[in-house]
Amino acid sequence: MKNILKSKGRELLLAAVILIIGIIVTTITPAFFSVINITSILYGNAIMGIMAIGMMMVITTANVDISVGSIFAVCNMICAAFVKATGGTQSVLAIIIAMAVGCCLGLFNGLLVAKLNIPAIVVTLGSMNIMRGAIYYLTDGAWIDGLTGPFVKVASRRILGVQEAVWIWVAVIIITYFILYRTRVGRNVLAVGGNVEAATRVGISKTKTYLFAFGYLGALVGLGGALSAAKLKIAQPSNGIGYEMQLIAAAVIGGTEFSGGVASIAGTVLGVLLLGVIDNALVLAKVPVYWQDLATGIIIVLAVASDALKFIISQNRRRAG
Amino acid sequence: MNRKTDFRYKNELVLLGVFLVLFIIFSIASKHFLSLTNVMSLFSQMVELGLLTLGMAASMISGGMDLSLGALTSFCTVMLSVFIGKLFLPEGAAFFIVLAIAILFGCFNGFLVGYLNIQSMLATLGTQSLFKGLGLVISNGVTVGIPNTQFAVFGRVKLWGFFPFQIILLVIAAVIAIIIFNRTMIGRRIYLIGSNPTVAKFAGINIKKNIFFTYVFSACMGFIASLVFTSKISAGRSDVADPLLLKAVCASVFGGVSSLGGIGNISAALCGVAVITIISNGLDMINASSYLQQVVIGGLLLIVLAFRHARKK
Amino acid sequence: MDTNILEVKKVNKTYSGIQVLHDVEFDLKRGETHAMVGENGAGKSTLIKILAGVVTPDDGSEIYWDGKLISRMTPEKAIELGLAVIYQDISMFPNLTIAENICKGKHTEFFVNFKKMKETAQKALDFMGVDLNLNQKLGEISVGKQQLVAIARAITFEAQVIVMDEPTAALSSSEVKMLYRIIDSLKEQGVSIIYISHKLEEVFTVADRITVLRDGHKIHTGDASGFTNESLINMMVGRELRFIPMHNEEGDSDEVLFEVKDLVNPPMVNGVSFQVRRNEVLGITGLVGAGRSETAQTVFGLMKQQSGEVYIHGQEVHIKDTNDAIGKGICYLPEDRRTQGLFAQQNMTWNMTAVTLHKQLSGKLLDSRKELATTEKYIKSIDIRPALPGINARNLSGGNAQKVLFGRWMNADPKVLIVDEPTAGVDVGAKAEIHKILRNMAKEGVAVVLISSDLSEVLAVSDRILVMREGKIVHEVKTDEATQEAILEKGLMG
Repeated sequence: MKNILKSKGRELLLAAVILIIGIIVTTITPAFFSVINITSILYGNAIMGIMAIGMMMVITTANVDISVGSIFAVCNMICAAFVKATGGTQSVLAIIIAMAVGCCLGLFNGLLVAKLNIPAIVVTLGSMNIMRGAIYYLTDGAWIDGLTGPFVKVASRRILGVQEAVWIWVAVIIITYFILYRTRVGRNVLAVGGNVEAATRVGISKTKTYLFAFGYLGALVGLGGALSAAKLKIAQPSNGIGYEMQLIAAAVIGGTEFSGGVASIAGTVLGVLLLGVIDNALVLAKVPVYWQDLATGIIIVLAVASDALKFIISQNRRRAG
Repeated sequence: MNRKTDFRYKNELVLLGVFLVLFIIFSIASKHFLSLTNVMSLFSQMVELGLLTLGMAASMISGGMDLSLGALTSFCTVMLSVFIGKLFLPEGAAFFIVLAIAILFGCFNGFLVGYLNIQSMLATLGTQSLFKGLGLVISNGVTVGIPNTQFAVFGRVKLWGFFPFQIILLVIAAVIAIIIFNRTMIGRRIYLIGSNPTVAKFAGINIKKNIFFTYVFSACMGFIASLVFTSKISAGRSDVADPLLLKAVCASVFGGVSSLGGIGNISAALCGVAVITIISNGLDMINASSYLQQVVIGGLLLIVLAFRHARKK
Repeated sequence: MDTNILEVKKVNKTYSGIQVLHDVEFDLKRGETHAMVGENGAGKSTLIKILAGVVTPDDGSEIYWDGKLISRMTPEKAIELGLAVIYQDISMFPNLTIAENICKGKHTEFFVNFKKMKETAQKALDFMGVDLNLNQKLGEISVGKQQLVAIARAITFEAQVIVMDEPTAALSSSEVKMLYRIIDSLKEQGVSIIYISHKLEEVFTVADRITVLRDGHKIHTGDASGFTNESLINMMVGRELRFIPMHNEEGDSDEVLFEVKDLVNPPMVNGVSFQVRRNEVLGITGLVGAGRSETAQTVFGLMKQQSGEVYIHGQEVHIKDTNDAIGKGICYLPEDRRTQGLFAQQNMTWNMTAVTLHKQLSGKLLDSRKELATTEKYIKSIDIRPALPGINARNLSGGNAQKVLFGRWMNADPKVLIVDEPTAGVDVGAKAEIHKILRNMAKEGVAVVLISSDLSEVLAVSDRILVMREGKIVHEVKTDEATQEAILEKGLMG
C-alpha cells in the first residue's frame, strides 16, 4: 500500500483533486456528477487526450514538439478535403490518410531533431511556421464545412452509451501502454530519455527512437485532426493554435518529466481530465470562458514549482543526511 | 586579426549583406518599395519585433528561452489600456504602474528559473499561460480601447512629419542592451553562465542572481514593446504580441545566438530582425500572400540551422 | 587451451600532438585476472578505451581477439565479440529497473518478455550470489550496488573479457569481499578479467598477472607472485626524479598564512586540519577518492561544510559561496579543466578575466583595452602560446589552457591558491613551467596548496606533504625526509 502511494502518488493526487473539484461543483450545480455530464466531459476531452499521449511519448525522449498545432491543422484540413470529395463514405480511409500525413510530418521533425543536434523546440518552431503558413497558403484561409456522410458519425456515434471518440481514446491508451511497457521500441524510448549516452553504448539507435516518438505523436495528432473534423463537421486552417501548450501542460502535470526518461500514461490522462474538468466546472459555474487559460497557467506553474521545490528539499536532506 | 581568432562581427556583416541584397531585389520587384513612406514604415515595423528580440536574445544567451515574453507584452498592453481607457489614470501613472507589474512578472520568471532551477522553457511555458490567462480575465477576452487622443507618442507620433518616434525607442533600448551585454560585468557573466554554468560556478559567478536579472531585463523589453503596441493600435489585447514571439526566436537564431547559450551578439540578433522584417515587408509589397511569409521565415530558420550544423562538422 | 583471448601489439595513441601511449603491448589469457596498474596519466584508461572501441588508436596498432586481427574496433564490435567494460562512471539507466538494466539489449524480440528478462537477470545475480530486488529502479540503489548490477550485465552478455575500472571505489568492505568471490567464479567459467586499481593490496589479492604502465610505456608484465610491494611501487613511479626539485629557498617561516581546522563534510571529508606557512608550497596527495578535491571544494565554498574553521592570516573567515571565497582571497584551480575550468566556446581574454571583471572597468563599463592588457601581461609573464588573446579556448593545448587558468587566478590576487591536479594532461615542458609558477607565487606570499596524484611532482615542488586517505590526513612529512615509497605505503596500503 505504501509503495503504491509512493510510486503512484502523483496520479492519486490528481484523481483526488479532480474528485474534489467535482464535489465542489456538484454543490453548486448538481448536474456535474450526472452520467450525461461525465460522458460529455470524456467526449469533450477525448481528442486532446489522444494527442496528449503522443506528446508524452516525445517528452519522454527528452524532446518536445511545439508544431503539434500546425500538424493538427494540416491533418484536419486534408481529412476534411478528402471527406468532402468522397461524400464521407470512406471513413476509415479518411482517418488513415490523416494519420499517415501526421506521421510523415512527425517523422520530418524527428529526423531534424536527431540529425541537427539542436534543441527540439527550435527545430519544431521552424516546422510549426512552415506548416501553418503552408496550410493557410494552400487553402487561402478558407474553411471546409458541410461535411456529411457516415464519416461525421465516427466520433459521436455511441457504443454502450459512450461516444466512439472516447473508445478510440481508450484504445490509444491501451495500445500506448502496451508499446511503452511491453515492446522493445517503447523501452528504448524510456532508455534514450533516461541516458542517451548509455543507450548508444548498448546499441540503441537515438535516431530511430526519436523517429518513432515524433512519428507516433504525429500519427495521433493526425487521428485527432480526423476526429475533430468528424465531430465538428467543419475544418479550418486556424485550428489547433495553442494546442502545444495544453498538450505539454497535460503531460507535465501528469508527472512526465521534461528532462526525459519518466512517462506516466495514467498521469497524462488525468492531466487532460483535470484541465477539462476545470473548464467544465467553470462553464457550469457560469464563469466566463477566458478564466480557463488562467486556471491552466496556475496549475502548470504550481505543478512545476512544487516538483522543483521537492527536488531542492530532497537534495538538502541528502546533503544533511 | 589572425586566422585562428574569429572576427566578432561576422554575422552582422552577413546579415546586413542579405538585407541589402533583399532591399535591392524588392526595390526592383516593386515600384512602391523604394519610397520614403515605405522605408520609414519598414523601420517602424522593426520596432516591436526588435524589442522582443532583445529580450529573447538575452534569455537565449543565458542558456534558456523566455517563452512568456509575448504573453507578458500582450498583458502589458491590456493593463495600459485598462488604466488609461477604463480607469482614466494619467498616462504617466499608468506607465509606471505597468512597468512595475512587468518587472514583477520578470522577477517571477527569474525566481522560477534562477532560484528554483526549473528548466527555462518549462517555467516560461507555464508563466506564458498564466500571463495570457490574466490578460484574458482582465480584458474580458476582448480588445480594450483607449481614446485616440491619448498615448500617441510611442507609436503614432512622427517627428518632422515622417520619422516615427518609436524608432528612437528601439535605438535607445538597443544601445542599452548592447552596452549591458558587451560592456558590463553582469552582461559578461550572463554570457559565461550561458557558456557553461558549472564552469561559471567554479569561477565564483552567482548564477541565481544573474539569471534572475536576465528575466527581469527581458520583461522590461516586453514592457517597452507593449508601449509601442498600445500606442500604435490605441488598444490592448491579450494576444496582440503572440505572433512576434516565434519571430523573435528566429531573429535571434539568424543572428547567430545559440539556443544552447553563451554565443551570439545582440547586434547580430537585431540584424536578424532587419532581415525578417524586410522579408515580411517586401513580400507584402510584391503582393505575396502573408501566409507565404510564415513559410519563408520558418523555412529559413531550418535552413540556417542545417547550414550551421553542416559547417560545424 | 592456453591461447590468448585478447592481445594488443604496437599500440600508439597521440592526442593533438602529445603521445600518450608508446608501443604498448598487452596480452590476456583465458580465465586469468590481469591487473593493470600505474599512476594517473600512465595511459590505463586510454588503453581500455582503445580495447572497447571508444577511442581509435594510431595507425599500425594491432588488436587480436582469439588470435584474429580486428581491423577496426568499434563499441558494437566489442560487445559482439564479448568484451564488457564496467566504467567508473556507471553508464546505465537510472529510470529503469534493475532487471532491465541487466538485460538491456540482450533480448531483441519486438515484444519485451519481462518474465524471461527477470529470469535472465536473476540467473546472473544468483551466479554472483547477490540479492537485489529486480523491480527496483536503478537510481534508487547505492552506487556500490549499481556497480554489482553492471557486473551482472556483463555476465548476462556472456562476456569473455570483463574490464573493471576501479571497481571497488564505491564498494563497502563486505561488497569488496563479494566482488572477490564473483571474480573467482567468473574465472572458473573461463572468463578473463582486466582489473584496474590504485589499491595494491587488492591487486595482490585478485591478480594472476600484473602489467605496469608508466607515462604511456609498458614497463613490465609478470606473474603477480613475482612482485613485491616495493618492486611494484618502484616500477609504477620510476626511480629517476622527473622534475627539477624547486624548494623553498627563503628559509622556513613560522608565520601561518592559511589554516583549516577540523573541516567536516561527510562522506568525503572527515575532519581535516592543516596549515600553510609563508614561503611554503603544501602538497596534498593520496588516492582518487581520498577526499582531496572535496576538501578543497568545501574550503572554496562549492560544497557546504558541516563543521570546521578556516583562517586566513590568522583571521577566521566564513565562506558562503564561491564568490565569497574569491572575495576573501581563496582561489581554487579545479581538477577537470574541460568541465570545470574553461569556457570552451569563449576566447582567451574572456577566460582570463572571468573572475576579475571588476578590475577591467573604466568607470562602470568593461574596457576591452584593459582586458587585453591583462591578457597580454600573462601571455608574456607565464608564456602562453599562441600569444593570441582572441583565440578560442578550445583551440589551446592542455598546458596553455592551464596557464590561462593560472592567469585567471593570479590576476585575482589570491591569498590562498589551491591547485587541483594542475599538470594532468599537460606536456612535460609545461609541467615544469607550472611548477615554477607555483613556486613563484609562494615566494610572493601566497599560501599555495598543491593537490596531486603525481608523486614525483609533489616531491619536487612542495615543502611539506600531507597524505590523505578516506577523508582524513593520515601522514605528514617534510619533503627532505620523504621518500616516494614511504608515502605510497601510507597512502595506498595503510
